Amino acid sequence: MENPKRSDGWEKNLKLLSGWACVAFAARCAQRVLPLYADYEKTFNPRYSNTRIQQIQNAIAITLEAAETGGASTSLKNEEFSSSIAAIIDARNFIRPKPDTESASIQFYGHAAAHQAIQVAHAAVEAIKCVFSNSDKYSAHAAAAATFSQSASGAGEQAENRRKVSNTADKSFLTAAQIGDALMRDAMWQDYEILFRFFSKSQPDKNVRVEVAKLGMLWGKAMPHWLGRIQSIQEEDQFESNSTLEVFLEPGSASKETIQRVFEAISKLHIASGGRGLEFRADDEFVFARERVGA
Amino acid sequence: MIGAAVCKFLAVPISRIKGLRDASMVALASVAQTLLEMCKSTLAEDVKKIKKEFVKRVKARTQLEIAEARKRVAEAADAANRVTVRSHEEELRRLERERLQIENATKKVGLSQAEAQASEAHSKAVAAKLKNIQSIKEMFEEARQKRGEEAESELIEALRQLNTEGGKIYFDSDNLKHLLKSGKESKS
Repeated sequence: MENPKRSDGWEKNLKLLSGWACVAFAARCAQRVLPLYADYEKTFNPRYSNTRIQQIQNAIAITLEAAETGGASTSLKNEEFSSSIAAIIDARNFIRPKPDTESASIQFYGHAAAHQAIQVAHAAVEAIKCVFSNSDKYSAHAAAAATFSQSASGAGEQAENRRKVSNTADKSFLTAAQIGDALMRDAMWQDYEILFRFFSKSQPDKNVRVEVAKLGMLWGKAMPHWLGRIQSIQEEDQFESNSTLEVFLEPGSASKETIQRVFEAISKLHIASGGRGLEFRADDEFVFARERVGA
Repeated sequence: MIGAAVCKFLAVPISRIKGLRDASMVALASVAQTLLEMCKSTLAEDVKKIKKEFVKRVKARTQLEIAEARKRVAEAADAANRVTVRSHEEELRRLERERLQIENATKKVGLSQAEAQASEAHSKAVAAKLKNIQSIKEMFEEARQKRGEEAESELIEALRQLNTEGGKIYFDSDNLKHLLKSGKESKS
């Protein structure tokens, strides 16, 4: 068989892969772009639910596991998987309406990116359904995942560029979508080449399990700017949750100066230990009060 | 009747520079260690004790007396934060001075090293200068330790004063232990 060419397009090329290879391909696409969905939800949805995001990530992890085990994964049978798929469908319905914002705003592109990202996740679980029902449409769903991934990354890059450039006519702004799209295409092609080599239909056992480890890292040397920013926010959140000291203070009749001295002294101790000082933030939801009998 | 109020604050390291995160975590672990020790004395207490004693959890805005206490504590925290920002800048300047002093001393050695190849006498001179760098580093370390002891004494003094004025500070022992663990992981 002749080696596939990038110019042949995803639809044609993915038809050369086995069912589980297509599932793995689509799941990897989803893993790459789901941070765009989570980022949009956290930033623009006041009713943001971390549980839903975890469920969606879980569904994709199980999908990949299914490809790895050739459908023998026990996680597929448990309720968790069906509720995770339901979360994807929910998210797809939720994100459908376009935000009422200026077109070409960060939110506008962020919405487009998140919308496409959730379509990728949906295509991945559709691909797995096809493999189980012996329908050969799995490659079409994998191709859809590829196309949505490129659009998601392009829109993500445009949102990112919008943070820096206000003028939409700026050259860098106009090329941002192409950059995001191209980086995604490179990462997907890297997966494709390995899948074609080891898990194509021409291999003796076309139902062969996909060794996901062979695919390596999700991204090569270059990753889109949107991912860099999201990763640094995640690191920041992780750092903050690991480095927050909880202080409970009962002021009694102490003066403001005395209380200030206490806070300052704790901060100084941090500096003296090699840190750079602490900032104190009030936790508004937390106030204990003691019942004073007969007062 | 509602009496004393306990307000919760979250203290987070103010420097978010990636390279300094580990140092911040290690420093916070050291603070946690000191505070855990203090929880064994009467200066500070584990908040778990008051969770049983303090029976009512209310929103500050609905209780005038508590709202006043909260306002006072919040203002004090704001003022302390402003001072910390100044201390932070001073600390950065101090570290820069330390870095320059060590760098200068190292450069001097570097210049003499070429000469040192020519004679043993120069090698001895280099060794003496290297020793000098070491002693500068030790001097800084001693100063750091001294600052640590002073900061601890200041905290003890501040907490004593707070207690005298009828106030009290509490920490969550689980939170302190978590910080200690995170600090150890950052160190390794």
